[in-house]
Amino acid sequence: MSELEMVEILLVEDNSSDAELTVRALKKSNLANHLIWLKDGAEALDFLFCKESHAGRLSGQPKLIMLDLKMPKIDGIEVLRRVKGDEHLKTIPIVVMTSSREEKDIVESYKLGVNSYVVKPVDFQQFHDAISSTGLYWMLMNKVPEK
Amino acid sequence: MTFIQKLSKYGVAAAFWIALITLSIITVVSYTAHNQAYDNWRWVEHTQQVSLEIEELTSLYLSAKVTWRNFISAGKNIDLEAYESAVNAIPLKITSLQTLVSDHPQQQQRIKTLSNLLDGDIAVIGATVSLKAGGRFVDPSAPFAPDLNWQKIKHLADIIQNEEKELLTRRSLELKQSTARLVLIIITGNVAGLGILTLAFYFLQREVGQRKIAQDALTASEHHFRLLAESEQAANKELESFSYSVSHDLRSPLRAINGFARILHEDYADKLDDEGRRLLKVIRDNSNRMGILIDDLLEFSRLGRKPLAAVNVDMTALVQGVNDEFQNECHGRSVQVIIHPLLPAYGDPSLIRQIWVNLLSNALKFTSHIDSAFIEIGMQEGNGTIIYYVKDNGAGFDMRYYDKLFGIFHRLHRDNEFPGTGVGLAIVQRVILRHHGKVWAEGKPNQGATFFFELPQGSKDERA
Repeated sequence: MSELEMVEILLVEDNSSDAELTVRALKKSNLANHLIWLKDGAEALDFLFCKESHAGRLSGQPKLIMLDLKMPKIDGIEVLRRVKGDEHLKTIPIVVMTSSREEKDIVESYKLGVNSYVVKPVDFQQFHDAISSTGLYWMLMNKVPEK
Repeated sequence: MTFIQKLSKYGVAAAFWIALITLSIITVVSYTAHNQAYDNWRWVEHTQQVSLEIEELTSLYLSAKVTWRNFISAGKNIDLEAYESAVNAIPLKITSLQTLVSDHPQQQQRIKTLSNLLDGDIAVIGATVSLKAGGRFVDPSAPFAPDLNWQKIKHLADIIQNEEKELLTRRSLELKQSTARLVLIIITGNVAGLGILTLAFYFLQREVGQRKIAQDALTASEHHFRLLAESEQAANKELESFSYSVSHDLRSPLRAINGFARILHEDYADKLDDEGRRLLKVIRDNSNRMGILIDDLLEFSRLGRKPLAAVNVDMTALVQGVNDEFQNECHGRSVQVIIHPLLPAYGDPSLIRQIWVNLLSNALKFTSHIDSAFIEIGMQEGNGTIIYYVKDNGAGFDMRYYDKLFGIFHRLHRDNEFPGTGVGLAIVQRVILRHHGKVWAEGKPNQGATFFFELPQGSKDERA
């Protein structure tokens, strides 16, 4: 993973199996060429705010953040709050990808300004399809403001 | 209801009425007594007045007589004024006395006699006064002298006075007796009234107390039930979130197993030999099966918790609908399904639908190896209930293992014969038990099975 390269998708997911399956589904749709996978909320924030181990990276920001909610240290809700509360980062589309269909999580995410909320299907095929179509929509069909 | 309870129920009102009547009687009696006492007081006055009048009468008579005597002995120069006023006053006194004793004929008679005696004397006196005044000689010791009727008059006056006194004594005694009776009545009545009121008060107090106790108990039990409902709600919520966690946390690794096995198959199938590919298939089949088990388990738990929304259920339409949905699955098979007209049941339509889905899919599954499958759905009317049945000519079962038939995850057939998780009939039983119904079955190996279930009968005119 080279930080000099442009990052298109930032995947924040603590479960390595889910991450691998996600990456594979995105790869099949040719969307994983510029993808970076981080394992928890703290690392994601460091990356986005160019701090700690990511202090020296070039300041290019991802076009899409795929965010899990249930994570150790800093959870997805907190990442969402910090990113959407930041003037420079708030325009980055964030898709929450989680197993939780709890109303509380959904409401909270939307209040914080999430762009999309996807419940991970339990079936592998459906999971695969959901990841692909989400990636395709946000990376190819959705239009974001020019920096 | 015990006697005490009855008494306290009707007694309070009755006691108040009795007390009211008692006190009213006492009021009337007291009033009467007061009047009687007043009368008695008037009688005393009356007696005194009669005595006084008699005294006055006799004194008038005596004064007339003394004046007359002096006139007779002393002659003309004696003034007759006192005599004349006495003679004039006597008839008035007589009239007054007659009025006073008007209620007593005997006394009236006596006064009349007295009046006659007095009149007699006055006539004699008047005649002698006229003679003397005419200058004629009147002998003071004449036959009418010296006392005329005085002795008789005195005696009669005494009799009249004594009679009045005696009357007074008698009336006083009567009054004393009646007063004593009255006092007894008043005391008894008051005591009784107060006693009844006290009793009524006691019962009222008791009832108020009992009501308070009942109210407290009600409040306590309401509180208890609210807590119970709250805790049940909490437990349900916990179970729901537990089921949710189970479904997701169990399935997440399952997704990985299945997904990676698939990836392995997709990317490395050509590098594996037949045995390797077979082992991979075993992994995938079992992960799929576990997925189905988890789904069924969740469904079983969901059906057990879902609140019942009971209405009249048109069973014929429901069964037709379920059967239509299964038509695709029977493609290429010879299956005859006969649905007899069904009376409506009373229950939760979505749960009852699940019963039909499970029983019909079972019937189709266990007849899958039969060349010409035959499934019959019908009913019998029970006592306020309907017994529905699903009969097939499929694999049947051995009645020796009947007790395992409805148990969750219990199966009477091997998976390679008839696939399944052993949850379907457990769900059927659970749904029926939640409707306070019954479910049972009859079967013989390779001769088919019949499943019966009994549900409350629905109303015929009102359709859900």
